[in-house]
Amino acid sequence: MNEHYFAALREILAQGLPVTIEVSIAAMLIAIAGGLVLGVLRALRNPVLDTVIIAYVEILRGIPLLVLMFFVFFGLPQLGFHFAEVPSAIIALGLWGAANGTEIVRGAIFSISAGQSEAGAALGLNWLQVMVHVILPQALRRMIPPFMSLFVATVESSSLAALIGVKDIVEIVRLRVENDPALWIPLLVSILFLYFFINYPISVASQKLEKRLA
Amino acid sequence: MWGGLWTLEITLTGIAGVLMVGIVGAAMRTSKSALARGLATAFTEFFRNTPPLVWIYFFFFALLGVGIKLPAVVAGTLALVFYQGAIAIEILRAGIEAVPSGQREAASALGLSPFEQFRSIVLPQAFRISLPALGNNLISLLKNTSLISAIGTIEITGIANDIIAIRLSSAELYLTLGAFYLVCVFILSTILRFTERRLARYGS
Repeated sequence: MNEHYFAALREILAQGLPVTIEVSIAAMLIAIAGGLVLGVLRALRNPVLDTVIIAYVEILRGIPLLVLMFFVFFGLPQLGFHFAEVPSAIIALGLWGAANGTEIVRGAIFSISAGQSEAGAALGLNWLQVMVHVILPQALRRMIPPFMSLFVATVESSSLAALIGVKDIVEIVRLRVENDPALWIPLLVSILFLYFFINYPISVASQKLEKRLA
Repeated sequence: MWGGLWTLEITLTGIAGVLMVGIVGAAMRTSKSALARGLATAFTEFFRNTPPLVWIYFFFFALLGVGIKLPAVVAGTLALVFYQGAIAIEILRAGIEAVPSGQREAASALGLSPFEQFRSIVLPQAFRISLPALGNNLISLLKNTSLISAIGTIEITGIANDIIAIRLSSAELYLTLGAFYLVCVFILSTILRFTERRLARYGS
């Protein structure tokens, strides 16, 4: 039991952990990019754009991520789009993250006082210049703590990828215990700590930063 | 169809559980006892930094390993109650700390015991302050009930997977499933907003 446990643990760290990290970081990049674009578009206050973006955000945040992941992996092939396991997981997590990212960016932009953009306009800057040189530099700092929390949520949610067959931390545990059910407890406890040691420092840093910026 | 009812039943039981864990935990987090504070803090930080799916496996398979056989629904609901409960503790703690200390002092001057102070003075106000964040947590509970499909096929996502395994029409089924959750989330958030407005009447 001991050697089986350590063999499984090695596989989790050497093969599962990199997949979990890869999926989380790739999804997070989509979330940040998508969130920035959609969040800034919201600041235009264009009624048509607003409706489309709000619908996107509300739908993606209103359905369970697992259902979205199943849809991307099992449903999209029927509509002619085929993605392998890892890309499907990244797409689903990324689209979900981008919806949350949009709210983060929008919240940060609207939290900058209106006087700032009025002052920018009074200096003769156009909308884009005000956004790039006045609003975003201030808003970006306020986005950092919530984006760190979103990363923690993304790492946690990347575990759902196991359910479409991505060989991440959770899936390797599941495959290993098929031959050896006695490993369930030690392996599950080990990966709970593994996730905790990844996420806890980020959570703490996010809270500290938030307090300092407040 | 029955799957949808199970989803609602798990959610309602879960809401009761989450509120219970949240209130007890938040009372501990803000108590004078360092031991109670430490325990509640460790509980919160550990659960909310680890994936709920792993907790569902833990409550189902790990307990099975030591001879405790919980039905999938019970194991899944327990796991979610602990995970969302940990988040509720953090939310309610912030709410309790936002209640002005004069409230507690006034209650104490009126001769209320610490328990009565907490129950009838601090908690109702903290609850009102926390309700928007608490509501999001309950909505997230509703969505996370879909994770229970990983260990059984009782609630709606698990049943959808079963139907797909038989009939292979996954795109439409997952869209329907998504619509089901959207409607549920909409109803739950409407109820929450209504409650928020009702409570605001007693407002600050």
